[in-house]
Amino acid sequence: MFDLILSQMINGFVWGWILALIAIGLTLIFGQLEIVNVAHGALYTIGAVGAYYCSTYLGHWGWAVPLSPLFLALLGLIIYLTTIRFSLGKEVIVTVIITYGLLFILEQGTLLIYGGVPRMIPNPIPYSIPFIGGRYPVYRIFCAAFSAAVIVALMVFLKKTRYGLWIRATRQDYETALNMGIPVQRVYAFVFCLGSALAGLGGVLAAPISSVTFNMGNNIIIDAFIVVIMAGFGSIIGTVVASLIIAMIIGVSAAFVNPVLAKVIGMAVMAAVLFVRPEGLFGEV
Amino acid sequence: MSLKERGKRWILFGILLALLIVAPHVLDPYRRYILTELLMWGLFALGFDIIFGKTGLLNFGMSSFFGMGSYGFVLAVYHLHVNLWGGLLAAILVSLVFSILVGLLITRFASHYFVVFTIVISMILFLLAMNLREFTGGDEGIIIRLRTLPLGPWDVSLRSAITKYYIILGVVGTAFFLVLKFFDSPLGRAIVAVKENEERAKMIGYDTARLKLISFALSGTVAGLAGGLYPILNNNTNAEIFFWILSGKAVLWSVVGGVGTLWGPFIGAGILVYAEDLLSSWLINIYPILVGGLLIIIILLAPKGILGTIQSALMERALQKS
Repeated sequence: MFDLILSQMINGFVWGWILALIAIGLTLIFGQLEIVNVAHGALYTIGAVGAYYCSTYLGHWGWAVPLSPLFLALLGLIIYLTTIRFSLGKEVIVTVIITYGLLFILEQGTLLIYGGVPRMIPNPIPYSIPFIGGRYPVYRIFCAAFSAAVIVALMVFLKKTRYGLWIRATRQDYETALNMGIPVQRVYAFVFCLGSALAGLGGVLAAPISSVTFNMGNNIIIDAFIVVIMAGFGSIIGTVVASLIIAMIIGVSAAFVNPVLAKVIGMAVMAAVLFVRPEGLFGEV
Repeated sequence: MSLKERGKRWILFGILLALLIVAPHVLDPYRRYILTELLMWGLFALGFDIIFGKTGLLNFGMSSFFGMGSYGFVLAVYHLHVNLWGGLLAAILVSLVFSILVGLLITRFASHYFVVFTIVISMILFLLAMNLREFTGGDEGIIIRLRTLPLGPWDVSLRSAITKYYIILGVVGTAFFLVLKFFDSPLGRAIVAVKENEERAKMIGYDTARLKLISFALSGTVAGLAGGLYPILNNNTNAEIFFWILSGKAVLWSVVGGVGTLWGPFIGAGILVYAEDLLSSWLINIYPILVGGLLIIIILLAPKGILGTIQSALMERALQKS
């Protein structure tokens, strides 16, 4: 019993890092562009599908790690230029409807291209290490470590580079940033591409763990929304912490109740947090 | 409104009503079914228009209410053996209670959180409905058979599609009329005031939280009532009804038709449901892509929808003349 809880917690912890990648993408897009990206899950799915294609046609899943996010960044750019940028500054419904429409398009497109059949990818790191009585797959440890590294790199990028400064400045005060000569439009586009790429990377990492289906994004988007709301928009570290907490709670609950009820528990936790602190655990008011 | 304008309105209503009453006898069964569907979906989209068009809260999870109403009806008929009216009553009660509970939880939140909450709730309900198979029947659903309907001293047979049409027309028409009257009433106008400017509404002394809750409950109940009509039309319900795409359709139909106009949802549903049923099967594959594209185009280029744009144009003309 204790073993079960422990292994669920560890799995939850690992999953939490992957979820953090996706949630950070979501919160970046919202923090910067005030857009609730309902299509975020579809971007994650496309990343995973890319991983499938790389694994099958290029021989190894590893190709997907650079290629999928790159593809998603490109896709994000196209999406931004054709639709998102016309919605900036308009009310919530405009952006939500646009991303909702994008969700329809992306998910159906994925269905048409990839098909409705769930497929598995062979484990890219088929080793396991001895762990508390059993063995734990190295691949999962790699996922957590890799995600953490990417997140750290992201934070360094935001804090230390000039572009990162531009991003933070634009978020803080659009007008002043504009007046200081920062290419605000490009910053917006960049953030959207970055968020998309992060979602895609999450998909790549998740692909060997679960199976790759055209609508796998719908499951993850619930968790991502829960995390982002609970953490509050704005803090990357906060999103990571919330991700880990939620993933572990859902993971452990799923051992005892129906996995869907586990999600409901996750949602209940989020609602409870919001009651006490409406701006989220780490949100900036 | 002048007497002449009122007269014009009543004449239009009358013509519309006459057309609707005659329709099932002149249409072929296929088109008759679509028209019946249109009424039901229009009512559903009306639920969205109430909470969004009239109150300004973007509820992207209308499928929750539709599903709750639908299952309320079916479960009451199946387990409690009530008749059609009992089923509709159950649909109304279930969705009313559900929307009050949810509304209490989420109407306090600001717009972005509110939207996400509605999305999350509807997705979770979908997963629950699909998973609790013993209770909901999953995607196969539950089949019911209502043979006759007690109507006063008579027992009307429910086998006929025309009877079903009139029942649905009656329910939708009555509900729509009541909603129209509601938004003409002081309470309805207070709700619209909250949408226009919540701060000012508060300053006047309105309890905006209570008003939002009332509107949310009304919106959910209307959508739930529409959900109760589904099993009347189709003799079953299933968990797929909770699917989030249905929520998107409510938004789409209202936006296309004209948000806030209350008639708009029916117009939007009319055009798009008809188009959807008309498309041949191969086009079904890209239909969601077309819907998505249409949503984007409409919200960017014609956000007021068909009726809204016409109304604005008419108002412009009236202003220019004066």
